[in-house]
Amino acid sequence: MYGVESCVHPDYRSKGVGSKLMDARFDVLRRLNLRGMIAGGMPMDYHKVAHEMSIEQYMAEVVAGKRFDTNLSKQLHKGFRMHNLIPNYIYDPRACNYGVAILWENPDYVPGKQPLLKLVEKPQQIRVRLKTPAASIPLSAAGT
Amino acid sequence: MDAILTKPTQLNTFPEIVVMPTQVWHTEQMEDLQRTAYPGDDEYLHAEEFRSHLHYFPEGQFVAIDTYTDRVIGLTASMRLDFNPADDLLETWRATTGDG
Repeated sequence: MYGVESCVHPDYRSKGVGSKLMDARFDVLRRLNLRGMIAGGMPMDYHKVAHEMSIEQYMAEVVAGKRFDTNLSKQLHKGFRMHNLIPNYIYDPRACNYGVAILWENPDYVPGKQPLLKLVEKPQQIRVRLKTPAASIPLSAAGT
Repeated sequence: MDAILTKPTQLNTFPEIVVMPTQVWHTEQMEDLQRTAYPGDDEYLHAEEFRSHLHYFPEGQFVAIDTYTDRVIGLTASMRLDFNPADDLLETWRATTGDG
């Protein structure tokens, strides 16, 4: 499985929403008995130090836990491990266009096992405390 | 009475966020969220692309909904890919996803 995209509304970040979304993905890998998941993670904070260190050194420090990257440190904490660097992965000056292939291997994967055919989808609920009441968050122009 | 039962009480301070499988009617709000999450960037996913992912791999799509405002506030999209962990993933995002 390949992680195409994940995002959380700026007003709802750092509340564990992204983590819950990732858990939902891991559940899919387990239920469908897929071997693992690969995604291109963005080293979002690399531009801050790009003038003084190579991407290899930056990632070595992030992986070692000596440096915090707003995006990748969370993914690594979630159980992904760094697989390889991808130069010119996507246009993003914050990551100096680098991507980092990150891999999550399904610990429950059994080669040849039939996946569960019936998927039981149960919504998961989490509670978050927002800085501002949700009602006052401006909704985007379209919709409603 | 119905109004009282259906109106959540605590959500002003503790909004309930629900993670659930993406449904086709979420896709327009998902595009709105992409624009909000990546301001000034035009490489975001559109409703059309989310509908396509939903069609090919419905099990791999999830949204997070604020049940107080009934808005999509988080999303994740995945696709099936045959990948050998012994190899490096070197393709661009555009190449792997076919521009989304």
